[in-house]
Amino acid sequence: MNRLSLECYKLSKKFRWYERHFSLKRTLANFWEPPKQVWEWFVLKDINLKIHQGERVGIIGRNGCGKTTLLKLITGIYSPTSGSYKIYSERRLALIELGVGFYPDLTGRENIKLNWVFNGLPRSELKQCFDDIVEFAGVKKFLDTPLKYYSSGMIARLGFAISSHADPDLLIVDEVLAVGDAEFQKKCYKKIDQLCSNGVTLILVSHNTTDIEQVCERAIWLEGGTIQCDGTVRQTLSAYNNINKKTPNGG
Amino acid sequence: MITKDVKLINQELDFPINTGRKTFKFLSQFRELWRFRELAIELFWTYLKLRYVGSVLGFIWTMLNPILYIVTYWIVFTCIVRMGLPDYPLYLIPGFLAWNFTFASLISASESILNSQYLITKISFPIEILTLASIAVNLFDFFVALILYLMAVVILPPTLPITALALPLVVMLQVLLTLGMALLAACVSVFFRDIPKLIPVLGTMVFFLTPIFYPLNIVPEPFQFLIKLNPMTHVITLYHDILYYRIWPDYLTLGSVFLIAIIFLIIGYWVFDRKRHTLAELC
Repeated sequence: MNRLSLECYKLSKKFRWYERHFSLKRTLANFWEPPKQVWEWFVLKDINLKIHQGERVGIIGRNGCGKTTLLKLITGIYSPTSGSYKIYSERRLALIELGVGFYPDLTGRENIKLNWVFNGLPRSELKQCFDDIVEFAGVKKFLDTPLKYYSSGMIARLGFAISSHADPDLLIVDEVLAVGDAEFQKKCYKKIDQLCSNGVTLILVSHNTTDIEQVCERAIWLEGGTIQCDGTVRQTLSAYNNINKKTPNGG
Repeated sequence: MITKDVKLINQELDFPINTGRKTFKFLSQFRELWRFRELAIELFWTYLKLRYVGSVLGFIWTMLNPILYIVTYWIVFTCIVRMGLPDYPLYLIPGFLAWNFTFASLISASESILNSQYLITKISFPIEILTLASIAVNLFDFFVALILYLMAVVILPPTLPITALALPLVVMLQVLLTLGMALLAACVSVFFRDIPKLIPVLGTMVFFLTPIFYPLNIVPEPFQFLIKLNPMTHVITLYHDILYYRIWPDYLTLGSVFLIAIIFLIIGYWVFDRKRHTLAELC
């Protein structure tokens, strides 16, 4: 059996919204009064999960079922309300959104450099794969052009190219591949396939069940903050599709 | 496309995971900061580059800005209001530059997290790096101005005093103090968006209540105590001691500034570290 890559134990995330005083004055004036109204809800509740090194896991679910929150928890952007998680993979790379960490006034070259270190990777490693990144993104001609003149497709390609060439052992991809055109998507999935055959753990979030079917071997269906189904792609997708057929509007 | 048999389905976990974070949380945070050190350097250069995108004078603004201010104060306090200090610019400039560093750092730190909302909600990295990089840019400005000043003093008649050797120590103390205050400002600004608007006004008020362009002893006795409550007063006094009065700083002032700086740094970093995830959620 492969070693673990990621494990979650009773991971929960509660969001809370209360009528906050957005100004210092009102806060000071009403300091001792409790907030008028508090809304709380669990975005994720008691998620138990074990993902092993080399698995390709797809996460599906409707809007607002907690997919992105789960990714933000395991990448350490949010902290869990309760429960715990641990990541055993040394180099995890997360693509929560393509083109984040790019500065429009910097050139493509500078942005590649900056985005590389944003992932906590040593700059010395960039030299080896810089050409590969440029090649994959197809931006060779525009390397010294400020990024604001790039098309959104080019920015998306560049973003994916950097993360996928960074030699990750856990790659987290959130819905980002929907941006590009068909050719780019094909290229990305080919790259993902290649990474996976090298033993990379993949967590892919998507609305698109065909994407999940193509790439993943295991699928997790999140609904209302809990895991509804966790099994092979075929099992989960058939359960998911069944429900969706019955209640197409998510009722 | 399904190549492997999936053996592990619906596994049950019946033990809590020992994440080992509680006990060494502080230490692991420093390790994380160290891992991202290249990001800090790269962000520093980025901020420096981006600052003057599209401006004609570009980098010259770094020097022009303090020079214009200093010339204004110089004219006001030698021609209009007589301060009665010989070699007045030598008194005014170091203190003004030092004040300007802390003031500008606090302003940019208070905006550093808020301006990067899209980063901290999408990428996982130690977000204090944003604050640190923005302070580093101000420190760079300070260094440029300070070196220009020192060069001018070396060339012009009243030569540089030997006590200027203590300058690195004083600058270091001031950086420590500024770091602590800036981390605190950066964190609190996310909770109360009034703070970034308050700091420039408050700073200007404190500027006039700090002995930067006047000596402390012209302040009436009962108010001296109040002015001494401000930690920046002691920092500026240190600069005046070594660069203007040509005396070595006394240990009491050095020690107390160091103590205040460390207290600010600990409180600032502690608050920031406790609230780091909340910052991403609130932004």
